Amino acid sequence: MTIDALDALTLARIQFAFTISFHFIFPAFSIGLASFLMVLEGLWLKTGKPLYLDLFKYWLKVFAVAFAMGVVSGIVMSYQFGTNWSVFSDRAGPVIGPLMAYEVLTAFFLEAGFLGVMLFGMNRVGKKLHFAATCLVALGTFVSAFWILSVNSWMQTPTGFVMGDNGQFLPGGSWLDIIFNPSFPYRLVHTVIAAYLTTAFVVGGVGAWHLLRNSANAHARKMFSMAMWMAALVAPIQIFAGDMHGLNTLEHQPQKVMAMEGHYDSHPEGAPLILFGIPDSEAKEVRYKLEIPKVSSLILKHDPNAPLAGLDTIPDEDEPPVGIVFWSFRVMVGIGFAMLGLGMWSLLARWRGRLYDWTWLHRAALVMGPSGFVAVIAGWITTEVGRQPFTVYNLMRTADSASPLDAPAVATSLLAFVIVYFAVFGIGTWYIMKLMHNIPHDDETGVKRGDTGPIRTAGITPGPSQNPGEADTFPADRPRDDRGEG
Amino acid sequence: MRFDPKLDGGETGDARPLWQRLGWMLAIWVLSIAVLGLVAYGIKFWLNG
Repeated sequence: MTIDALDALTLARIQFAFTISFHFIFPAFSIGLASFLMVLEGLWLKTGKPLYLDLFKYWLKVFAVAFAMGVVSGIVMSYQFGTNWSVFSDRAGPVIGPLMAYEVLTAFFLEAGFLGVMLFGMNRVGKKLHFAATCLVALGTFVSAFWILSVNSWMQTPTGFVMGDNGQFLPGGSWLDIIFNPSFPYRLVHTVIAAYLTTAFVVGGVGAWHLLRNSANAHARKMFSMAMWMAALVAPIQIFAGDMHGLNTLEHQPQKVMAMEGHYDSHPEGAPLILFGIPDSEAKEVRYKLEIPKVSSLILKHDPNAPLAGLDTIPDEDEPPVGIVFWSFRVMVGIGFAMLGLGMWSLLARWRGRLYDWTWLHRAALVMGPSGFVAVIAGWITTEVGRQPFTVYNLMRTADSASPLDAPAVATSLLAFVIVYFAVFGIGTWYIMKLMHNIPHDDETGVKRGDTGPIRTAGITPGPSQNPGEADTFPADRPRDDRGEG
Repeated sequence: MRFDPKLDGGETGDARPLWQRLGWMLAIWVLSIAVLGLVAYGIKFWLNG
């Protein structure tokens, strides 16, 4: 392999890491936000409380921008399989191609199509069909995640295929074996819950921000309360799901767990849990480590004296980059426990009746607002870098997966991506921040009949609105002060 | 088609017959997909260019 080819490979990997890190932020947000919107609209239709509709309108704008950026960055991702990873696409295409096609079809026909109805259709299709569209968008985000995580999981734990004479991975007996490969159920649960938590902490952070400015704001109270329920109830479930996922990884991808744990050496009589340290892959040791004896065996084998193999049992050329995996895993786990802590703190505040006036709780929730994004990116780095040096685990090396491109070509497209992504998605993110900075209030962007001023004045003193073609913009039999609290 | 960012026209929509509401749903759905399809082709041409 020439230096040029090595450089092209490295650049292609940087490009994929860069684009997928940008992309992953948006679906991680929109998966949870779609479900949150479904709950809000459902509560509005069920209870008739305008507060839920106001919150729905408030977050729908954020969702639309996040969704658009997620889809656009996702389109770039799929094209990249052809531009930079054509060898991988050629060899694995017969297996992953149909699954990715289902993901794209879902994104187009469920998510994007019905998002249009959500944004444009209320006065055309009525409330119930509008709610159906919201439910279909939420379903679409989940189904989309289902297919793309199935593809990714197959790359981690490939099953259900046969090797063709030309080196291609071909579908074997049953597609179910491919779709429901061994790591898929665990990855799906862990990732989707992560998306829900990410959204909950953004909503909680925005609610906290507005409570710090005005603790009497009913809209901020409601969104903060709903988010803190999610934190308190779902964060423990996520830690449990993560533990199950880790045990599954130990079974099917042991070297990834060795890297996560920083275990260069095997431990025949119980492995320690290394809390912190600096992995040194040259010296094959973790420097300055702080460890608890036998706890790693206790967690991974449920027996403090159970033997655990280390990276010394793996050929050097098959080792993942330990330092990155070791630290990204700790960032993810650390944030997970911080989320749990905030959830428990909110329960204490709720029990004391101080959920809406405990300033330090609101400050902590504000700081934790973007933590979900950091956690999902860190988790993704853990699982993807932990799979290295393979694209298809133990079967196809990353170095053998790239397109035969020269480094300058990849460098040029990488530079274009960096500039375009920071410009387009920077503006989009700034706009989302601006939307979330706006104070949620009654009649969110909406008006009641008569509030809009005259439609035609004919040169006389302005009178009340005269638009007989439009019904009341809000049901007259629904008092505006009928607000949900707590 | 009028963009209704206020989402306050639920009663207007409910007043329409079901076939008309379903027709609007289909029309908006198709248009949304068409717009996204155009964006996808735009990116494809950009990447191929």
